[in-house]
Amino acid sequence: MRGFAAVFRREVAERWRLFPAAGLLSLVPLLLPLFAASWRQDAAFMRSATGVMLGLASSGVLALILGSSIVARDLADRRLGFYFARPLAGWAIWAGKMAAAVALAAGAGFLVLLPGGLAGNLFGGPAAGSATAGELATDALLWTAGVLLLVLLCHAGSIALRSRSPWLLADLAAAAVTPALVWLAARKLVVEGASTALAMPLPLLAALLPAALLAASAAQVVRGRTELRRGHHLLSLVLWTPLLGAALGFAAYSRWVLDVSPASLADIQRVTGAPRGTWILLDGAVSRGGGFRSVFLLEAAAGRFIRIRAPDAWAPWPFPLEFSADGRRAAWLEPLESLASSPLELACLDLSRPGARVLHPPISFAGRPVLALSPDGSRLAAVDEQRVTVNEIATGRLLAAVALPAHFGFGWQARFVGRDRVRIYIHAYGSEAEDPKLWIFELDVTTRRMTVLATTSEVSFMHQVSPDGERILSPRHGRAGYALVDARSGRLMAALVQPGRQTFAHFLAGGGIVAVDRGAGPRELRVFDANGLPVSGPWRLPGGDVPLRLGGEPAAGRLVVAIGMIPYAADPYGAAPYDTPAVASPHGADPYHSAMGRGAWTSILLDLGQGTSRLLGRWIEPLGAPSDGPGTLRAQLFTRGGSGLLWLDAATGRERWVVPPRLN
Amino acid sequence: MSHLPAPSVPPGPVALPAGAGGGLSGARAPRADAAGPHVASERLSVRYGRRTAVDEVSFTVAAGTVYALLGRNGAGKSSLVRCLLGEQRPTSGRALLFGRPVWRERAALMAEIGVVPEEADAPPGMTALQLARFCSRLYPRWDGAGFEQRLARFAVPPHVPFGKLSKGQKGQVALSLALASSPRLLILDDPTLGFDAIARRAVFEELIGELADRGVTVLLTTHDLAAVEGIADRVGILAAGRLLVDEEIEELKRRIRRIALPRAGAGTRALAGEALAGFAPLRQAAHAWGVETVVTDFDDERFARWRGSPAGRAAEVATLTLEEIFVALVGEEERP
Repeated sequence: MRGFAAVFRREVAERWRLFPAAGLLSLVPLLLPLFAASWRQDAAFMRSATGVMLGLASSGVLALILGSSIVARDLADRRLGFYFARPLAGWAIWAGKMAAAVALAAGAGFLVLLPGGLAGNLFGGPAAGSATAGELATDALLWTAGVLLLVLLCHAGSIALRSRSPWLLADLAAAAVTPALVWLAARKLVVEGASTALAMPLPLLAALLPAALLAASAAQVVRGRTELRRGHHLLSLVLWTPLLGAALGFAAYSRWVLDVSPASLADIQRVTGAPRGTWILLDGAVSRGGGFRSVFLLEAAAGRFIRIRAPDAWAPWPFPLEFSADGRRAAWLEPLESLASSPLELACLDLSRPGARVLHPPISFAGRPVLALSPDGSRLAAVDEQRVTVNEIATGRLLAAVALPAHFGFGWQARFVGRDRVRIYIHAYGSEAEDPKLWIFELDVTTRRMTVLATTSEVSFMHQVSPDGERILSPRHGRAGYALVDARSGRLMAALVQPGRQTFAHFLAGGGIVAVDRGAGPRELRVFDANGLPVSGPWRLPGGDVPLRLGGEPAAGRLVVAIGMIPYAADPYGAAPYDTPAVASPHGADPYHSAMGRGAWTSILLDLGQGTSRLLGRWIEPLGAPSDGPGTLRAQLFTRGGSGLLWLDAATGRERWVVPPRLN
Repeated sequence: MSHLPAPSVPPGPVALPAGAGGGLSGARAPRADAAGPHVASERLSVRYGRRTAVDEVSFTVAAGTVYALLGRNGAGKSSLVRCLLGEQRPTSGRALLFGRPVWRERAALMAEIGVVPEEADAPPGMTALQLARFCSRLYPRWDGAGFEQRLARFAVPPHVPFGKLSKGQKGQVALSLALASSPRLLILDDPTLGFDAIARRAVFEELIGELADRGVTVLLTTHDLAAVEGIADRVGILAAGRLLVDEEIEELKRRIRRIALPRAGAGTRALAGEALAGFAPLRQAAHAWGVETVVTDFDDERFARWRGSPAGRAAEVATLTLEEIFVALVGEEERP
């Protein structure tokens, strides 16, 4: 320590003139308002601002000069031997010199700042409390750390340049490759929607840079001693070995993180199925990389899958993938090879052809539109805030583009009715006094004309559109029960209401409606036809104190119902005591069942005609919704214990794990 | 002038057992209290890329002796000294000071060592007194009064920044700093390089005084062979990184002599040539009056026997100065 102090003191004493020079410079912020008339109005602010700027600039310039000279110039002028010929440890020489450079650069900067800061009340008045003192201490610490980093960087650069060694080329190569590796790997993670995977390695990498610089600088002086070239070699080795190693490690980590499969899903949050066939879309969080969102298109029978890039920004919403009604094509949007805010391009896959590759037709969007596929999958309709467009997927040709009224509404949905007509369902913005209004437009692709088909104030924004697009089912706006509305006319076809009870309703795949009423006593399940007329029921189900979910319809007239095994009151993680998100969400299970509740289900198969039921299994939870009818895979999918994806054939009872469960 | 073919140089130095000292300090013997040599170089090599600056050099400096390491410019002296000071890591081999590895224990060892570098390297902004104040905090036996007395003897202004002193004055300050630390070992790397005659003389006088007062061990590299001849006990000669000679200076002067033979008939010359071959001739120069031969294995008895023969009757032998020996050993060949 004595050696460190001696070196530090000597280096500072040699450059003592910096402090009076800083003192002179510190007068500039005080004097400037006297000469610049426009500054007099807010002299205090201008003084402190000028003081801060001059102080930072002084520190920066001095850090640059001292960092590049305090060791390197002594070495180049063969003067470092003066220290090494004394009983001074190498670390004391290095630390003394570096500490002196930082103290001089930071100290002179503070000195320049001080008068302007005091005059500009930068440091708080007499009433300033400890919080201000803490902030000032933090600022001073950051300032000093910045100066240290700059000193170390300049030291390393200066040594490399002065040694005139071929290692300089290696330095330049490493300086280009290392950040490029980190940038590319980080960018890849962000583009692939795995930015959560950056949370741990990026701070480590950021901390590694100053640590490696410190170690390299120390090695250059302590081990390189008076040999400039050898010192440079050591500096390069100690600096670039960990940095390059870490960059390579980070690149490998990035590859590992992104090398995920459906089996990596630790938490399956959404499952969407093709209307026909065994293709499903899995949306969930994988077990690695901070549990980032991963979306897979999986052919459940063969296990074939592709991973789809899902930007982080889309996380709260269902992934925008559409299956064609014939189940032969899937289309979705992917960000181009850049950050998540980039334009989106259309991607599509021919599901009927084994080995088909993802195609990117020349169709792209600046925003994030709502998509709809024509029943044969040949056309794509896209609706955003400004317009409706229809493209031919094979060629990308624009078939129709119609502008929407400016700032028209929210909650858009689109659905092809046949091949040439697209229906668009939009809630209009209105004043608080007005009822919300659902507008139903129809675009004729052939004539490229869009007409208003109907409007209705009966429905809320939680509405569902029937599979054929002709009817709307929604909680009634401002009233109890559900409304069934004709999409062509806006006419109220039926009100599904049970006095004194809460009703939840959902379209069935065949066009019928299933509704569950909850109130005092047991729940009651009823089935209605497409016009809202009762068909069967009521069938009694457990009361409102336990969770209830409606699943899909694996066979005609057979509906999966899941009953929670833990009452709401006993589930500390439970959601609000209302029923079955599957009823409300057209996209299947939403993840707001509690961790406890997600696993604790008993699934039964309910005969909608007879009201009889049979046990399908305990601890399994259906992933389908009532609109998933016979022939859809999703109606037969379950999770067990909240994990994995179980394919359960309700008719035979045969089970198969599509995604094996993970042990947590 | 013609030369005999240069003798093949043996791979190592001419190793002779360390004996009694010679020269002006011939009365001094290795210090009895020392457990071993104060300086040791063990098969030490330094390479810069493909160039070998020091090639497996081994030698020792006994306690209390003065060792002069000689060599032409670029012979490897400074690289060797930097390794011995722990400033540079040898490519192979090792350097020991007081029996301890200097690369690992440099900081501790430097408390016992005074160093005068080839080029004065003190910070240019510091005065001699400021330098002394800095050093006084680092050395356990700092002799501040002695430092000021030496400065006065050298007539070096104490308050002038080091960078503004003359070359000679810088060297004198460096020597004063080295001596003020009361070292057990002084390592001087060409301390008088570029000095004028007066400054050079002052430095060597100070050194002789220190030797007389405290019997400090000295390792010295210099081109001032005349001055070093008076104080060195042992000499090492480096050529192209290899140590050609490592020997007591008196033994070196006894062994390497010049034999002059006046002009004679062809038969006599042939006989003389045969006889001289036994003295290991190094160089031969023909003059109008006869032939001069520098031999490297002179022996008094053999020479007396030879003089008794008709062929050697006219032969005369002369001792060489250290400078003449140095030139004979490492001087470049002159073409006739």
